[in-house]
Amino acid sequence: MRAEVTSALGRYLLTVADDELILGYRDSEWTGIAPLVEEDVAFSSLAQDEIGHARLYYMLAADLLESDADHLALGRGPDDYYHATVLETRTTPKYDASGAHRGGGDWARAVARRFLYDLFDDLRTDALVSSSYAPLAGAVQKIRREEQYHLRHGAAWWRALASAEGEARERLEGALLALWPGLLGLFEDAPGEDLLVAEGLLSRRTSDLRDAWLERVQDHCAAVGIRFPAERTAAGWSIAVSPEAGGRQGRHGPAWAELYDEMTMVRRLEPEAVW
Amino acid sequence: MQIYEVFRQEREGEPMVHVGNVQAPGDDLARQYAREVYSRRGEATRLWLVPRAAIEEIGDAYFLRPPIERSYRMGEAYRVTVQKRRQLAQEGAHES
Repeated sequence: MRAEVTSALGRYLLTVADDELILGYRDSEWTGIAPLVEEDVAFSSLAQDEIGHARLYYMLAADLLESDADHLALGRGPDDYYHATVLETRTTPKYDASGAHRGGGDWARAVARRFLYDLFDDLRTDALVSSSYAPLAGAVQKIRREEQYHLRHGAAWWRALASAEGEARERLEGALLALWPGLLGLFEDAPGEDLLVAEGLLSRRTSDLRDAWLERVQDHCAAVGIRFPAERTAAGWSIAVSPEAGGRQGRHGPAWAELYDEMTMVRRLEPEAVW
Repeated sequence: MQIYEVFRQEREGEPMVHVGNVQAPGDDLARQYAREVYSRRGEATRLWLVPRAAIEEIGDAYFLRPPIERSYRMGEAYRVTVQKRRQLAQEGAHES
């Protein structure tokens, strides 16, 4: 592989790995407080799966960038993470020793983000599974097997909340609207994706996945009678809001500073420690 | 919300053994929860989920236990039975 291709692929894989790590981290915050104990186990397990996927992508990136997976996951500066900003916000109440943490969490938002991200990730991994870089294609094949369960889990919750009367359904509708600009931000390209497509490492750019995703989300909204926040016209999709971009370039919101600090706290205490 | 009783087979050909239950709003999530709770380390070759409502229970001692003394039917005093019981008791003692 030419040097510029190697570095573009490494950079792209960091984008994917960061998405998985950050969502996995945020979703793991539901451990202990999910709506029922079975879901607590299941959602925590899904969160762990995502962190496991992140690990595979970091190991692949580490090979290409001559780095190591732990450093890539926890040793970079806060501006060198490339996840979409929608994934970095908290959906659980923040723990407060005074007891003020009660309230403020939103399970519907966690469910909606998780499911709609998984629909996006399904399209993205589909664009990687036939990559000409064999180690990547192999890892993605395994990841897709687990993701099938995640999608079923997400679809079941999507239906359960939407078909409930009252608060659950209202919260799901509210979550979709609140997340919408951030979800559109998932489709921001990483630098160098054109080159990766030309080299056969990636079959479609991230931005080219958007229309297929919109169609799938529209189907899931129609199936449960939730208003879909975009319209299809003769000229293509018409979307009223602009995407919350910048994440893929390392620009993040206020939730990130707090999450970064917490996530890297232990490693920063003793960066050279061996676990 | 429904409770599903969960039965697990750990190796092909072995019997399905009751391992516990899960509570879920529907079959779809029940399947997920059973997988996470009872086979997250790959313990199962097969799981059965049975809605608790589908179980026909007989818990009536009056019905289950005959009112008339019939221990003669058990053959408890037969020489072979007595020997066998002694042998089992000894084996048990060795193991513990």
